[in-house]
Amino acid sequence: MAHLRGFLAGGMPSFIFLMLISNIIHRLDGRVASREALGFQWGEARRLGLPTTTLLTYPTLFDPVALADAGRWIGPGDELGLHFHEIKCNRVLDRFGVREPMLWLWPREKRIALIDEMVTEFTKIFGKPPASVGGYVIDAWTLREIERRHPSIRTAITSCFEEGVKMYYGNNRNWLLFSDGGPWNPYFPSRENALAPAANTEDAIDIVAVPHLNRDMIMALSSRDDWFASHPGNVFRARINEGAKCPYLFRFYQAWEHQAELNGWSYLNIFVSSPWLLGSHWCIDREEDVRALYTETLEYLKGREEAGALQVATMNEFGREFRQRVQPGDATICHWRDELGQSKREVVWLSNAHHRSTLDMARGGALVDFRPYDGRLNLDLGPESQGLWNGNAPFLVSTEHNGGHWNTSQHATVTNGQHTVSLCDRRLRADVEWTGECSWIVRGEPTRFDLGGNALVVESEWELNASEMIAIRRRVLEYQGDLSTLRLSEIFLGRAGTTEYPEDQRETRLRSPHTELQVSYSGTSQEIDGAKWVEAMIPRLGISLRLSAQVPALRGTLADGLLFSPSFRLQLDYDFSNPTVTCLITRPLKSR
Amino acid sequence: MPDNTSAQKPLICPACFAREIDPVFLHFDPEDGGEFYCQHCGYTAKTRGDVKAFLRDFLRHRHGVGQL
Repeated sequence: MAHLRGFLAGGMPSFIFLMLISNIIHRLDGRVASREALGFQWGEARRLGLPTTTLLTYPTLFDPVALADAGRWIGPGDELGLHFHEIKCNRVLDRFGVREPMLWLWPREKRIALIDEMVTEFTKIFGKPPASVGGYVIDAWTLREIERRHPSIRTAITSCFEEGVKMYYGNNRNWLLFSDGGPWNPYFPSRENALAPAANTEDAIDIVAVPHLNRDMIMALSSRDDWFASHPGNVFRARINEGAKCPYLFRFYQAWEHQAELNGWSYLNIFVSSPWLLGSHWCIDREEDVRALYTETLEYLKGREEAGALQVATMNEFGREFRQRVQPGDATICHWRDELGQSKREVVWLSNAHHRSTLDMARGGALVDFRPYDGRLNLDLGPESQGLWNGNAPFLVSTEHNGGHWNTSQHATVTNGQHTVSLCDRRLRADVEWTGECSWIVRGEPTRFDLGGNALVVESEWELNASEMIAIRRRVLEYQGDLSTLRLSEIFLGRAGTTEYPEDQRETRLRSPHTELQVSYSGTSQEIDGAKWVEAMIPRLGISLRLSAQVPALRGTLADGLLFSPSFRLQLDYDFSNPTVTCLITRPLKSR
Repeated sequence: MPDNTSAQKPLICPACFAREIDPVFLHFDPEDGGEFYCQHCGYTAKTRGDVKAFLRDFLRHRHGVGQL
């Protein structure tokens, strides 16, 4: 649950700084050429007086030349920490005998032994242990071990937002980093599942988890968000620069500032490893262009800092500030407009301890991606784990990965008995209003439809907060026909999975107050007159999902899927002459 | 159904087509000055001609030939 921490009545949170906090992060690389580029990065940051966090890799801890370079460049106010990438070296092979290049996939005992050795060596060199570490993926088991063995570590880069299926394809089927389905913003990870935000202090690992880069929140749905991120080098990979210019990148930064108005804080992670600033990098046409764009990024941050809109801090400083503003159980929201194409597309993301939800306004506000967290599934990785390489937090809805537009999502239809329209056939603009601590109303603009020649105008709004419930309200603003004939159907089409191939759904049971239907790909359905709720019990996700009518519904429907379209359907039908309120509620199947 | 102009067949999204996703129909937004848009990927265009030009050029260059 969210915690009241003092609000101005009817206004914004009293703790509000309306500020974006940015980390400028570097990784110390063992290669000489890379360190020359890193010298450029450090030099530009110091010229502008911006603090940086430099994360040392395993080989550089034992490389006197690399350490000497770092010693020359690190300035007052900068932070040093550790990064668990670039571990492929002879010393690692000799000491640990592991050929796996990615630490998140190592056997547990050796994984923690390497981390122990890095912390010990760091402490020996610098006289105190690190406060910040980073990895592309750090699972819950590893985070718990770090918390227990190395309490100095308070902030960690623990995941790459929405890197999974699309990055696997985009990287020529060779980048096996699967961590789809987590939060995009910093959070306190759950002790049981590092992609789920903790529900409370007892559930939380006491380490502030930050993402590796910010990502474009529309491209995170429909493309490779590693191409469209807070990384001046990555925009060259996406070919959206023209020489040293990339206006998109600065619209992108501005958009993260906007998120502070909705949350009271926002976070921007600029983590550019030095090879991206070399002309020899396979994505970089001209070294001077990428370096100029990197400099422009830092100058932009400096300018916004001077304008009072942004604060550049080290990772450790950010973690401390985050702990002042956010507690386990809090929710975060993102209202993202199309910064790349500058079309009118908008999406809204919510993340809390119970679920991550994505409303696509291009589809009338349909719920297009839904990751229930209440089951607290074990997503640990490595040879001892059930998932091995697959750390994706499972979805119940993912129109991009499984089922497409027509066979998954939560959406609504309206009929007059003769003609039917789907509310997801119209693009909306939305307003997102902060209504209290961790609580927001998303208001879709009124939308006009042609229902058999009669104009129909419908308005939808969604109430999002830190709880397990999403409330969906709809009302008719205008109808030229007989209002008493209108029926609204709230529909949830779901199928559990983590990738593009369907999984076996046969454990799922569909229920209403007096009926039950076991999923068996029969295509059968049951209608229940006057149903107050319809529900799916989903052992695969460890949750139940309920559509609950907050005003009387005419009927509910439970519908089994088919092998060819394996989504189950929950549906509530209403008399739409009055406004409707429907709640989508998740609960753990077992109490936590 | 896609909300294209009634007299012509729906336009497909050339950007989704370039990603080898089967035809995703573009919607047309008569408000806001008119805009063709894809619900799937965010592609937008001001005119039918723009959409067709994208598709035509993509097809021509994809196969490395001057004429289809």
